[in-house]
Amino acid sequence: MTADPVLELSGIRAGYGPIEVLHGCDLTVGPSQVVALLGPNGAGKTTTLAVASGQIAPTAGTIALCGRNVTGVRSDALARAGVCLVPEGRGVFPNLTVTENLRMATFSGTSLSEIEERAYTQFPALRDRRSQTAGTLSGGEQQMLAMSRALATDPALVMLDELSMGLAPLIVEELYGRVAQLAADGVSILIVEQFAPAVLGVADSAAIMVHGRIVEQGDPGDIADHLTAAYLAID
Amino acid sequence: MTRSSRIVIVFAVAATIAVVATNWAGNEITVAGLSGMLIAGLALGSIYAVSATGMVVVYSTTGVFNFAQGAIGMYWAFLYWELRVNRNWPAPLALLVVVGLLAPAFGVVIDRLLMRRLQNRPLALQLMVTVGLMLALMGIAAAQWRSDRGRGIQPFFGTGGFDIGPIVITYHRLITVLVAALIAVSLRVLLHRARIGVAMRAVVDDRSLAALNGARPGTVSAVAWALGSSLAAVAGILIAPESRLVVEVLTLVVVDAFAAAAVGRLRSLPFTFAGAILLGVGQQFISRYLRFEDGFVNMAQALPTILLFVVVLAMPQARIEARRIGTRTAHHPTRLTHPFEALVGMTALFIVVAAWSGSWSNVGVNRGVTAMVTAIIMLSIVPLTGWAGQVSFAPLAFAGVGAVTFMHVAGDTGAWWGLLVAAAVTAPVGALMALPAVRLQSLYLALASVAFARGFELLFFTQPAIIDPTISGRQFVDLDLFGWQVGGNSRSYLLVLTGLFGALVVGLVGLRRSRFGRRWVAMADSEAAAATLGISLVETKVAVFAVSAAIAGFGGALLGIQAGTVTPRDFGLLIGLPIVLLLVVGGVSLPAAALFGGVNTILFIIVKDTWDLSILQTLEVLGPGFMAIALVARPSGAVAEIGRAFAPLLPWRADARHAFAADRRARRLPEIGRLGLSEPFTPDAVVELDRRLGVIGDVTPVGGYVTPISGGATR
Amino acid sequence: MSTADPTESPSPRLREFQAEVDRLAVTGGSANAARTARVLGALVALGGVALTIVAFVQSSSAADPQDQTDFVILALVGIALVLAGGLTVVVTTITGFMRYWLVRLIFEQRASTDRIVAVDDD
Repeated sequence: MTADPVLELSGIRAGYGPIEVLHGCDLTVGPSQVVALLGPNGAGKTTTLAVASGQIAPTAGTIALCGRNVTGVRSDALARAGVCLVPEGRGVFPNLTVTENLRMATFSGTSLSEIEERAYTQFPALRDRRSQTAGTLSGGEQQMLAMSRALATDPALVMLDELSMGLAPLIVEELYGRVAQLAADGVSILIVEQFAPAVLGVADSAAIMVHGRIVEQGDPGDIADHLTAAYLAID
Repeated sequence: MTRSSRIVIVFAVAATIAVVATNWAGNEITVAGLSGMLIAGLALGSIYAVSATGMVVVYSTTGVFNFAQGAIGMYWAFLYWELRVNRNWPAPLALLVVVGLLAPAFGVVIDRLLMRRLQNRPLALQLMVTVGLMLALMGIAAAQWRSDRGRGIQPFFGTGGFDIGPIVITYHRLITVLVAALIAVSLRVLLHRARIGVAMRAVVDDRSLAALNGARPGTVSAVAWALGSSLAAVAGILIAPESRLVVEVLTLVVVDAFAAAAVGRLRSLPFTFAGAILLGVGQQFISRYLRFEDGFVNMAQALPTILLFVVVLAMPQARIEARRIGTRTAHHPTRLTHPFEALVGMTALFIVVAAWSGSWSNVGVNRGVTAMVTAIIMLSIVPLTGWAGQVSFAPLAFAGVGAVTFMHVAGDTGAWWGLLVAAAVTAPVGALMALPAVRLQSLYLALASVAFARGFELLFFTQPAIIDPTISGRQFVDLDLFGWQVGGNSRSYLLVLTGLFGALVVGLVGLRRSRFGRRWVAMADSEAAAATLGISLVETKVAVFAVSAAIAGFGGALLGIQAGTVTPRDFGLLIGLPIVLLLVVGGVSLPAAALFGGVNTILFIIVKDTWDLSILQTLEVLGPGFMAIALVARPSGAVAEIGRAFAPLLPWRADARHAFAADRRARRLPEIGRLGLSEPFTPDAVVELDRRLGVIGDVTPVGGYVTPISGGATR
Repeated sequence: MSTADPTESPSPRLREFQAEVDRLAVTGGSANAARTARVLGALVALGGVALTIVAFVQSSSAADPQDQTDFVILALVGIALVLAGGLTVVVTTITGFMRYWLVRLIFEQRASTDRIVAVDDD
């Protein structure tokens, strides 16, 4: 028997108020699978993650986790169950210290000491900045702090939104190294990126999203070839 | 700190020195006197600090500014009196029950029922609902504990105290200061050491990220409201022995708390404490060392108002808020009333009133006049709050300005042009009030309007030159309309008022469709977008305030002509609040809602006079209060809802019929999709269902049952 | 890149996750309006009962006919509340039940269709 996909979105329609962004989006992330969601600006990638993490309730369609329908369950409940979304920009609380930021991650059920230990082993740079407010960290350090929630709380499904945005290539490389490590541990991962090359090396599967729909899903190698066409809206 | 802030502060200090120098009472300054003042001021400031802290905690974690903070404290102070004095419970038990049990429970309940649904809603709605809660609590308290007897709470440990040198410190004051310090320390510990406290601060930073971390938003806001309510209770119980146990007095502690919270920019707890202490000491200083003559006797009471104004002035320019799409409830593109429709409606109203009022008794005509005057004052809120989205709680203060202007220019002749002068004088007053606050967020404008209304009540209308307290007879003669005398509570005046109301409504409907109206609505929709379109926000806001104030001033003059005499108390802040609320309950963007509001004002009086039930005795505050609370569920207002339901019946409103049909379809579809089931459809449930239904046998559970229903049924 | 074979049985972490999600589905979910209405209806009905009883007790102790009338009216209001609340409970319960029944039929039908199709294919 095939195991249910960890995340399955089917026929999702969603948006902000009267503006619909997703017009029937289908997407699956299987167990231990790393899926890259690519597409141009404004295609609805971030909205897809917002729906999958329970931040936005879809107006139609269903969200299923491990085959169980969770449509309408709110983001905090999903987060405690083991869905971890690292949002676009810096997923940190700027006025909280690094320790307090990690403390917030304890809602997932992992103890603070465990989280701290794992986070500081992965990113030793954070250890020295423990009592500094997160807003004063550098962009790369902030992203590390945000990532450490995904790395330290033992989630079942990780979603990363534009991890590379505004960061130096070296740091992006380091962060994606951690993602690969996470994938090797068997965690299911959904990565949203605008800039494809960084992610295609990590992904098992890739999907292209244009105008609120998944237009193609398949092997990352094939997808990479079609990406330019999608970005330039050539059929 | 910006240059303008510095200028304001320098001016404020200079003005303070000047005021102190000119009003020095000549008391000798002694160490004992000064330290006595400091201790009393510290104790008073501590109470303000506790109240303001509750407000800041709630505002910063939930985004809802709680106007009812003072009223909540008032209610718990009364309940404490009931238990401690009336039922003679021991103080610790009464304290535990009120502060530790009932107050937090109340906070959790209002969070669940009301406040959670107010998060991320338009500011006007948030403010109206909390003001509604405030009035409702005032109404309940006043009905439960009638003002026919004096009530007092003894200070803790009586009037006893101990001496340090020449200074006497009462235990009550010592306890007050200690309690405030304890609260400050424990809040610090809670917010930095406890996980829920860290989560509360995290929510301030980024609400959605806190949820992504798994923090329960419900728990966070429930804790915030429970804390807010408990802190209000502590403040109320501590201040009750120092002042009197009077509903209005304790409720207005909220204005003092606003001022303190504004010093901390509604966020910083240390600055809030500093502001509160400054306020307490300042008030004690005024009452001990300064002497103010006739018109200014309320100076000590007015200090928070003045402070609030200075703080708002000194604040740096707020950046224009670019809201994310979706934070505002998407409203349907509302169809604008055509001026012709308004004209027909208002003519019909006039005919009905003219035909019907002939059979009304004197009392009936009197009530009709009251309803119409109130409705005209309410109209002033429509462009301001309904269209431009700015919240003001001062329409009655503007009405007062209009009334006294009319009294001075035409009070003895009743000349009709006096009405225009009243409007013309009030307009710049409105603009002046708006000016310091327009560059700030709309919340500060609302606070400034409260400060303005309270300030005018305490310092302006009390001036003998404004309203002469020595005059006994009528201050207003009847209105002279080209030789036709109308006024008082006569039927002819009612008809004139109905005509004026109709003309104003038609004019406003026209204004809404004009350039100005469109600008105001554009600004309310998105300040950022309006600014990028080249609309000057400051000019537009000032203009709408001026228009609103002019209408209110006009209505105020008519109010004066009805009453014949006015007193400073007629234009108080608390009296004006039901007027604002009832209009919003009707539907803030609709001029017709003013008629609803005016009629409701007198309906409450009629109900109250008809049934002699104790709970109905305060209906004129209780009613608007509860109605405003109901806005949570129906924010567009009663008239708008009624209109939406009835419009499809009108033959020429095909658009309304389409909208109605579309709405029904939209409601039906998702319901059919998941069939309204909230539980998964498991084989066990099927078996249980069969058992209950009495179906036996041939149904064998198939694999398909296992999937939760909404997953399968839509496929 | 993945090390786990998708066809093998889920890892322990996934099983744990599945259990947690299961717990969510029971408590959470949307479309609880009917249940809220049912609870509210029950509360309203109970409040009506209480009001009626209180009004009844009070009316017997009121001397003034005016007061008595007031209490009679109050008692009538209480009875009206009982009726309204009770009706809400009954209606929402029946609708919920009917929906469940309807869904059950749909599933049964689909299952039987699947069986027929399967037989035809063979």
